[in-house]
This record gives sequence, C-alpha cells and structure tokens, in this order.
Amino acid sequence: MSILKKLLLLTPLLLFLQCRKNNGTNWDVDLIFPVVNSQLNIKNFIGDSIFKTDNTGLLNLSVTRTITAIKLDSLIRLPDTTITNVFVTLFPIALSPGQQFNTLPPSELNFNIGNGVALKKVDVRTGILTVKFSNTVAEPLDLKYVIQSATKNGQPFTVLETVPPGQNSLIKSYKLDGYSLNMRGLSGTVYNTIAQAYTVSLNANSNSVTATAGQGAKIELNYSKIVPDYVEGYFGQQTVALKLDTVRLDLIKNFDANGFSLNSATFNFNILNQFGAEFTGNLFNIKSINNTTVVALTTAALSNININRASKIGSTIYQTVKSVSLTTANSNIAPFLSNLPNKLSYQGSIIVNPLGNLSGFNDFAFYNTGLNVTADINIPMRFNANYFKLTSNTAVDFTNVKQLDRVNFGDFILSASNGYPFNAELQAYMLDENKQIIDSLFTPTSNIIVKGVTDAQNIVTLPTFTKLKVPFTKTKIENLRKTKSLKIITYFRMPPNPPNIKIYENYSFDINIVAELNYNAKTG
Amino acid sequence: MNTNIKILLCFFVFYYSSVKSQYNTEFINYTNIGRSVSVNLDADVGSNGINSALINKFIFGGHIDSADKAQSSKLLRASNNFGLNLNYDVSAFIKGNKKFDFLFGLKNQQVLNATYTRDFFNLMFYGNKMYAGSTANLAYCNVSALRFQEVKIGAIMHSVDSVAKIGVSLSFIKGEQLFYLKTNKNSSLFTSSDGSELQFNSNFNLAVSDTNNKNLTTFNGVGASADIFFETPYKSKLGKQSILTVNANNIGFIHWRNNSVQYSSDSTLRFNGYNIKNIFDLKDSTLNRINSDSAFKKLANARKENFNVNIPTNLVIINKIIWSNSFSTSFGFRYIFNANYKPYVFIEPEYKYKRLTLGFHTGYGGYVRLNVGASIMYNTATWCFRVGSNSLQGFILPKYSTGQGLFFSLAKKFK
Repeated sequence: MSILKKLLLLTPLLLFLQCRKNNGTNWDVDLIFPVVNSQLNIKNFIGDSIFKTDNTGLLNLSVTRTITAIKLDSLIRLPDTTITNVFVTLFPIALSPGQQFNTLPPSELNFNIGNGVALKKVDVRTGILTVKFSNTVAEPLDLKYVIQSATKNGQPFTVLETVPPGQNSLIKSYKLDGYSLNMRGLSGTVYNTIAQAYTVSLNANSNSVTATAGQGAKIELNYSKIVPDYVEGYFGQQTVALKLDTVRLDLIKNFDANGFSLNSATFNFNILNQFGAEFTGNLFNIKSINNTTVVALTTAALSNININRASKIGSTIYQTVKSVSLTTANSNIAPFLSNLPNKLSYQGSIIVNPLGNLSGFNDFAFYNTGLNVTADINIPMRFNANYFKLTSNTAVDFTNVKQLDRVNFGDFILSASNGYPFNAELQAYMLDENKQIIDSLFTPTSNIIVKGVTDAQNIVTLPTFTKLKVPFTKTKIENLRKTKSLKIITYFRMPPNPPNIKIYENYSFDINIVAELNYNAKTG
Repeated sequence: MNTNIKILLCFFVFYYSSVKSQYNTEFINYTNIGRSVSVNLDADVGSNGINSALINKFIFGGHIDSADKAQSSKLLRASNNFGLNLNYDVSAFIKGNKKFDFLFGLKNQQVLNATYTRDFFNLMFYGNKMYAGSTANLAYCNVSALRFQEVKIGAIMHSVDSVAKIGVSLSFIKGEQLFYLKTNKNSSLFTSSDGSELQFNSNFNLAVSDTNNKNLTTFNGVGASADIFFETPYKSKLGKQSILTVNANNIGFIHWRNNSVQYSSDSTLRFNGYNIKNIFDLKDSTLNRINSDSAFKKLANARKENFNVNIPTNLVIINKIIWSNSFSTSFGFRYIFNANYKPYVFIEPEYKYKRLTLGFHTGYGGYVRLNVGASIMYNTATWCFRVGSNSLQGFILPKYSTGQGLFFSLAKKFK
C-alpha cells in the first residue's frame, strides 16, 4: 500500500481520535428567584391552636390540659373470689346411668367488696369463671352449675360438663362477658350477692356403679378479672387519695423568657363528674415547675369543693361540672403562670358520698367514665419582659440535594416587614451528627429584623422594613452538606417596658427570601 | 481549538480537495462508487447564533467561560437557528441487471435542530438575573431532537435513456428517541426587579418518546420513508456538458408509541416563594414537597398517546457544469424540511487529477451563514475513499465562525 493510501486511511482515524468523550458541558449562570414568601405571626412561631383573640384584638394564649382522671376501678373493684362445693353421698348408693344422686338447694355467693359498697347490679364487661372439677366415683358424672343471678339475653349462666373420674380431672374457664349480675341474692334483700345452683348425676352413657359414702364430685369456682361495664348501688362513704403527681403542661415549647411578668391570667379548674355519686374534693400542694424554678400556688379556692352527682336516662349520662376559677384576686396565679411552667405538680383527695347514702342505693357508674379534672388556662398577651428566646432543632439532610453542588456562590436576601413591637434576632446553627456547631447561616450583627414603630403604649403604629443578606459561599455549602440538624435560635428583644407589651392579632412579620446565586449549569 | 485538529484540517484544505457529499444520501455517490459496499459517516453542526467554539464545548464537553459566551453573543439575532446532523450507514449497491442495481442499507440518523430567541440564549447561558425587572421573550422557539434507525431497500436505474439515472428506495424506520418542544407567541418569563416573583407564561407544546427506554435496541416508534433520486446529463451553453441532479430523501414519518407523551400548556404561572406555616418545622418534607415532575405533568396537561411526526426531508438540487475532463463546477441548492433549516445555496469547484479528485465548497444559508469546505476523493477501480467537510471554518476559526462538519466514506467496488 502506498504511503498516500495509508495516509488517506489513517486520516479519519486520527480525526476520530481527536474527538474526546463528552464528559459534560458546564457554564455559570446568574439566577435570581424567590424562595419564601410568608406572612408569619406569633402563631407561626409558637403554635396556631393555642391562641384566641379577645374583642380588643389582643391575643390570648388559651389551652386546656387534663390534670387527672378517676375512673370506675378507682372506686369499685369486684375482688377475685373463690368457693369450693362438694357433692358426696353420705351412704352407699347404687347409681344407674342418668340417675341424679345429689341435688343441693340454690345457694348464695357473696363478693367482699368493702368500703361499705353495696351493689345491686353489675353488668360484666369482661370476667372469667374458672372451674376445677373432681370426681371420686368410678364412672363419669354429669355436673350442671347454674348462676341464676347472671343472665344474658334472658338466659342464666349455665355450665354443663361431664367430669371423668379423678382429682381435678377437668379444669375449664368460662367467659362472663356481657352477663348482667343481679347482686340482691336469693331473697332480693341483700347486696353484693349472687344466687347459684348445682345438679350432679351419673353420666347417661356410663356403667352402673355403686358410690360409697363420701364419694361424689367437687368443684372449685374462681371468679377473676371482673371488669364492670356498669354498676349500680351504694358506693359507700370512702376517701380516695390523689397521690402527689406531676403532669406536663407544655404551654409553650422551646421557649425561654427573661424578666417575664404577666399582667393577668386565669386558671380554671373544671371537675367533670360522670359518676352517679356526690363527692367532696380537695386539691393542694400545686406547683408550677419550669425546670428548676418552682412557684407554689397559694389559694383557698381548691379546698372542700362539693361536686354534685351525674344523672342518666337510659345509658346516656348527664355529667355535672364544677368550676373553680383562680384569678389574681383569689390566688397568686399571675406569678404562678409567669413561671411559664412546663410541668405542674399536685396532690389531693376526694370523699365519695360525703353525706351518706342519699341516692338510696342508686349510685351508678359506667365503664371508662369518671371524675375528670381539667385546667383551662388563659393568658392575655400583655406582659413585661426583657426578651423571649425561641429554640428549635430541626433534622435536615442536604446530602441528596444535588443542586447544592452546582452553586458557586451567592446570597439569600431576606426582606422583612416587622409589625411587632420587638426586634427579632435570628440565627440558625448548623450541627453535625455529634450536635456540634460547624457553621451558622446569619452573619452576626446582620441578623436583626428591626421592630415596628411603637407609640408611648408600646403599640405598633407602623411596620419597619429590614433587608438582611445571608452570604452563601462554597464553604457554607460544604458545611450545609455535613449538617444533620439546624438549631434555630430567635431572640425577640422587647422595647423598654412598662408599659406592658401587648401582642395583637393583626401584628405580623412579612417575610420574603430571594436567592441570588451563581449556578453552574451542566449538560450530560 | 485543539492544535492537532487545526493541522489536520489545514492539511485537508491545502492538499486534498472535495467531491460532492455531506448531503445525507446514498444515491448521489453512485456515480463514483457504482456497485459496491460502503461505510459512510456524515456529520455537521452549525448555528447562525452560536459560534463553533461554544458548539464544540457542547459536543466535546468543557467549561463555557464568559469570553466564550460574549464572543458567541455577538452573532445573536432576534431569532436564531441551530442544527446538528449525525448519520452513519453501511450501504451496498448490488448488481441487478444491465439497467438497474439494487440498494440495501442500514442507517442511523440523529437530528437535532432548534430555533431560539436572543432571550432564550441569554436565559440559558447567563441566567435570569439580567432580566430582573423585565420580560424574556421565549416565543416561537422550538427544539427537535430525533434519533432513528432504518433498513433501506431500493434500486437505481443507471441507464435511463442510456445516460440518466433514477433511484428509488424505501426504508423501514425504527424510532428510538424524540424530543419536540415548540413555544408559541405568548411564551415569556418575567422576573421582578427584586427577584421576589417569577411569572412564566407557558404557551408551548411538547412531545416526548418513552423516556425510560432510550437506547439503540428500543422500539419506541415505527415508520417509513422514501428516497428519490434523478440525475441526467444534458448539453448546456456553458462548458462541455452539464449534469442535473435532484435528490429528495427522508420523505416519511415515524409513528411514536409505547408511552410517548404529549404536553401542552397555555397558562400563566406565578411563583413568589414557598409559604411557610411554621418556621420551626422546616423538615425535609418542606424542602421536597414540590414534586416537579408531577407538577409539570399536571400543569401541562400530559397525556400518553400515539402520534406521528414527519422526519426532516432533505432536498438537494445540483447542476454540475463540466468545463473540461479535469475541471467542473457544481451549483447547488439544499433545503431540509421540518428542520429549522434556511435555504442553502452553494458552489463546488472540482478538479480531477488521475484518481484523485479535489474539491472546494462554499455556500450560504442552512444552519450557518457562510460555509467554506474542502474534500478529496481517491477513486480506483476497486476502492473509493472520500473525506472532507462542507464547513471547515468552525475548525479553523471557531470563535468567529458558526459551523463545522465532516464526511467520510470508504467503498469497496464490485464489477
């Protein structure tokens, strides 16, 4: 092949070798686009559902918390009860198949409830009857056990079993769920008592046998885990102690205040009685706990609170409500709540039927109903304070936000119109997996949204506009990638006060964040 | 541009010359290669609004810096075109009888072309910050990207009235990929002066083939096309003789199916930032709550359906004046339908020395403005080799010119 031919053939090959593989084309563009546009008010910082507005437009922090609840089982418990019945012949007797040989008259079984409780009726929600059968006769015996007092759909509770010979030769459990127990006994004049009957006979399919004296059957009955669905009678005159307990209030989470003092507040204790019985209640040793700061409640309003009984029509309960209002007039409620308690401790007692059996054995209680104590807390947003500090930790993961890789540099421009009477000082710290701060978003001294213009009463007359620049450098982006959580700390620094700071419904932050980024666009 | 490439191209220009090619047709070469088996490559890319330096970065990769963009921007007009064609094939002219031969071929074609406004270019390469307080015009832009493969069967009558040639072929087409976007008169993007609001007037149509299956083996579309070729010598007042060649190929369509999707939108989107309800709950869900893909589908009335798309049809008319046994000049016209192609006129002087044919090419129109090319053909009784370019300017002066191309063909001849 001539040199020319070789050259001709090689030339395109050389040309193709010059063509590099395209590993992507990239170029830088300057982008500007909105990121956030929101109107935020105090609800967005603290919680939307806990604020109400009064007729002056003033925001009120208004929450209801359950303090304690006393259910049916705290008042009345049917104890586990065991009885043993023996059915033996006193003299030798020849038994043919099917022949009854021992029939006892109906008897009573009394439940020892105590505390002076006298029940007429118990509807069983759940309960178990466990029976151990023994047979000392050589052939199987049929045993029929009937609780005449326990009925379900009009039929008495009945156990009919064939008991093989032997000690504890048959052990069985039966559910009492749904049975209604008449607790008036055989005569209908006693309480806490049910009536029962037994019949023993030789099994119809067995062989004839002679039972010697002392031979027969024995059953051991065990009533256990009885949970009433409804009880009726007299609940006795008993005192139930409410042991020292602590309940979380969490009025405002992640919230700290300095020099905080409420102008006023109300704290209403509501006692809702769903029991058909009277009570007298006492609440004492009530403390507002904010971490290590404790303020005890001083008031006489929570002693000897008389609570009327509930009524019912059919199975519908009409509860009674007893309210005790704590105000600045009858308690130290303002400093108590100015402590911004995250917990509240309390102690107390209730006396059931303090005036005795006024209902004539007609007290009642349903399953899962009881005596509920709630607290309605209302704090008008009118206060003195130096500053508030809101802190939050938000888990973030920017490792998969690939667009971050392509940002060269830029700024986020935060524009805010502040309609609140306080400065907002913002900072967001980037935390690594060890909760260590690796960087922050805002530049110190350039992170303050200036308060609105206020009058002599610290009421905002005009919002103030602030523009903050958040630099977004490569270093910051790399740190953002390592960030596992953002710790956002906001200080709301109050103007000199008094007069009180007042937070109105129409106050707001108008926030607008725009990104101005130099971005590396890429193909391929 | 790479120095080695420049040297090679200079080598072509000054030591080789051209034969007519880079017209994406097999019949037009029949006169030179006759019955043969050939491999052919035909690639060209150009724009009347982007210089070759920037195009090269797109093709070969790399960073487009500010100087590249600024240089290219000088070429921009209100409306600009861009085009890229890459075709390669294996073809055979097999002996039929005295009057005709058969044509068989396997061919891959890739077509990318676009029309774009100055603002579109600026938005793409500079970003929207320069439009703060104004509106970027995105109307009447379009982008069409098409890739398909074909099996070609045809015949050429090489002795019509003893001198003329007529060729016809039919192709079965396998559609692989399609992306078609067309913006209408209301398309624009407004950026407020402080960047706090973007307003996108989305007035467009978009058609996309199955995006989950896009490789050589996928069968996302099926179609057919035809090529027609006619060549005849005639006596002319100029020169000894003239030859008129008319070629029209890629006359056909592709029926796109298999999860092909069409979108259309004529609405105004305003975005002024996400509304945050709770600043202490900026969880990942907040950052990722916008599923851009599903939002786009909903916005743009996405619908899966089959549809037909015409493939770019290539028309070439050449009149070749033969001045002597060794020298001729071709005057030609080319137009590609459905491809944002401007009418293209060209002149190709050709000099033949023994087995070597050298040619030059210059033309105006198409995807570029001015083309200058050169090529060479080495033609023996058993082999024919051609290499050249109709757009050399992009290789030599990439910053100042707007197109480049390459064609290559190697044929083994039969009797």
